[in-house]
Amino acid sequence: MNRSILINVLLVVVLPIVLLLIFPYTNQHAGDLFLGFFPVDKTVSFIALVLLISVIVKYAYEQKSHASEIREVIPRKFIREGIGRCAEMGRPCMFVPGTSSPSDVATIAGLAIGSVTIDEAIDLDVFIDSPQRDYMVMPITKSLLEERAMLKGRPDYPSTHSDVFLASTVQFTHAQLVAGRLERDRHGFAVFAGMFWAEMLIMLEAATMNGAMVLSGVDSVVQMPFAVAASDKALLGEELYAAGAQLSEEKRLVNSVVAQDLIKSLLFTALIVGALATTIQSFF
Amino acid sequence: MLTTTIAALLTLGAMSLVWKENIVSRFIEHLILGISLGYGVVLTYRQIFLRLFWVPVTTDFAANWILILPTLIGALWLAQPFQKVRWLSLIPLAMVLGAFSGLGLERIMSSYIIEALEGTVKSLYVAGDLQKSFDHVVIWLGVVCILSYFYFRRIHNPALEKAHEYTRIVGIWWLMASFGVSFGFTVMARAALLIYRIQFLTQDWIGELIKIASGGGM
Amino acid sequence: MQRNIPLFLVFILGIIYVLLTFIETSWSEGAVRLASSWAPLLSMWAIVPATYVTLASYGRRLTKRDRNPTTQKAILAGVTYVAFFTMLISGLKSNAEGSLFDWMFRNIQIPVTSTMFSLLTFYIASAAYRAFRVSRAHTSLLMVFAVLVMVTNTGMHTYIPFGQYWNEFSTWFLMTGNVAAKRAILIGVAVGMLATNIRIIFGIERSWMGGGA
Repeated sequence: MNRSILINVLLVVVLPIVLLLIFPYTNQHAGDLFLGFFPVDKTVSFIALVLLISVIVKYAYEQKSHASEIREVIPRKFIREGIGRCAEMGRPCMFVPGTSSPSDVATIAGLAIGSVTIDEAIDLDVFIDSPQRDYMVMPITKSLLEERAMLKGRPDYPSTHSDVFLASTVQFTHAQLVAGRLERDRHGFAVFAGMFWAEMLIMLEAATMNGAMVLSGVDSVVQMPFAVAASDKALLGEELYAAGAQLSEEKRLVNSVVAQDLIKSLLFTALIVGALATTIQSFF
Repeated sequence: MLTTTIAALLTLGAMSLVWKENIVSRFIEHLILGISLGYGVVLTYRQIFLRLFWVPVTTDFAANWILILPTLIGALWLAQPFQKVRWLSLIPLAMVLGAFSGLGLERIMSSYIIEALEGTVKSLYVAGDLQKSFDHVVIWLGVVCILSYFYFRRIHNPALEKAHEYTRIVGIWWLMASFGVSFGFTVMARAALLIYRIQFLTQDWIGELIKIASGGGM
Repeated sequence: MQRNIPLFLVFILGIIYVLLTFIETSWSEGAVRLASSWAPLLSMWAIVPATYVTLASYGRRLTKRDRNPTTQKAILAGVTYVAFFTMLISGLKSNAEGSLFDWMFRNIQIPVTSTMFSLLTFYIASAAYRAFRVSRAHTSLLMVFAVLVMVTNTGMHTYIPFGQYWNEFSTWFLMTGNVAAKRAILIGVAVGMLATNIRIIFGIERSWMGGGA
């Protein structure tokens, strides 16, 4: 017990201070190489990364579940409600996992939210409409759907209850197609999560105007105001990344969200101690 | 003139989507879907297959033969539609994801987190400049409060928990205020775009039509 | 077993490339360049199954084998097919200026795309209008600030009481409050991105391969 408190104090209080102290030194030596290959100015990010990786991996593979320790970013009930709405009204559900490639991490976060949506949709026999923009994300979404359907014992589901396809690789053409479908089929629930640019508002607004319940998730600062204004629930920034992990209800993913917060407490220490220290320093 | 008319009619048709989904916008949607899909395939063929693979390999085989390897591995994507061998298509994807995930870590750490911290961790008091000191305090406070909004874990210490509750509230309101400001600025920028499109309709198309009708010639 | 191969590849390549970013030698730079030159070649083939799926989906409409088939849908799917193959065949032949491919791109695709882009204004206005009417506390504050900015930016603030102070406040807030918000969001996003990247590398996050444990 005492040992774990000691480790926590070392991690959350002492380590950020140490990093704050060595940062100016490493910054002065930008361009220098240690042992002929290690760039000195990357020392702080190296230490921070090693720490981050070990904390996340340690938490993820812990036996104990930390699910009760975090507040709900978005209740699974919200998605269930949206899908339920589709089922009641006999309307399809729209899902767009961003308009970027899988090398944008937000896309993967969007897919994680999508997999929960798909799970709920299969349970209630709701049609899934998913026009995609990236030609790599489209096959991923399709296999995601097929795998989930297989797990639920519904191997025929993708062919009878879904339309996952590549709409267009052009930004606004894709948006136009999504908007057109939303107007025509009047989806009951629409999920837009991932990396979006300006076209996002067209889709969000077309969905809302046609009476869909909208869940959006964006990590781009520029698009956030529009996501807030045009959807029923907007997952902003880090919420997008945490939501997919938390909604999955998989122990390892949920635990890694706790690890994320541990890193943030470290950042709080750096912010508070750093600002206070430099302020005190400025008086001398 | 014919091309301008086609472009203008398409512009009007696409605009009608805002009013109500109709047969014209539906036609345009299907037409554009076909065109942009074809465009995407041709672009991929020319920009990636020809430019990055075929031309380098055929012109200088000795230096570029290695490019055959990723192209062959990439061809595993073709296994995607077949349930039994689908896992093969995950191999090229795994390679791309692995490399980019790995490469991203250091960049995200240094260019997002460390840079933002560097800009925020400043002396809150600037001697002799009250305005600047105030600004620094505001920025610092804003970062702490909004970041606390993104803190999901429950805190067991009651005093800290209470404080977190308050900073979260400040954080979300602050966030909304700042979103409002960006919203306002973007609206101003987007309005300009619509004006350009209407200018195209009125000047380039109707203006020209009137000229022709009044005997101005092509 | 089969699923372990992609997981293993992600793990190995992820770790190698994390380490490479902390090594500054000529060969490590070469390895990083290799990744960016290989990536498009590794991913380009995906367009084949992706396009095939779309054509199959619209083909079902064309042959009236879809969910609720109508003649109109079949005809429209036909339009898509004709447009696609015209574009494909003419584009593979030549994409030079003056070719059919180029003409269709310039005179059909571009006007429609730029119209959609310009329509953003309508969608913004409609979003703003609803945000006002629904008046949830959060969105109301957002709209108040948005209007504040629009008013001061068009110079209309001179006509309203305390307009000058509004103007000064919004300019000041843009320089301080907005900077703070942006930084805090970016820090949060960065932590989320790092965590997701690490989850991918260590096989904790598997939604990209169809999910499941």
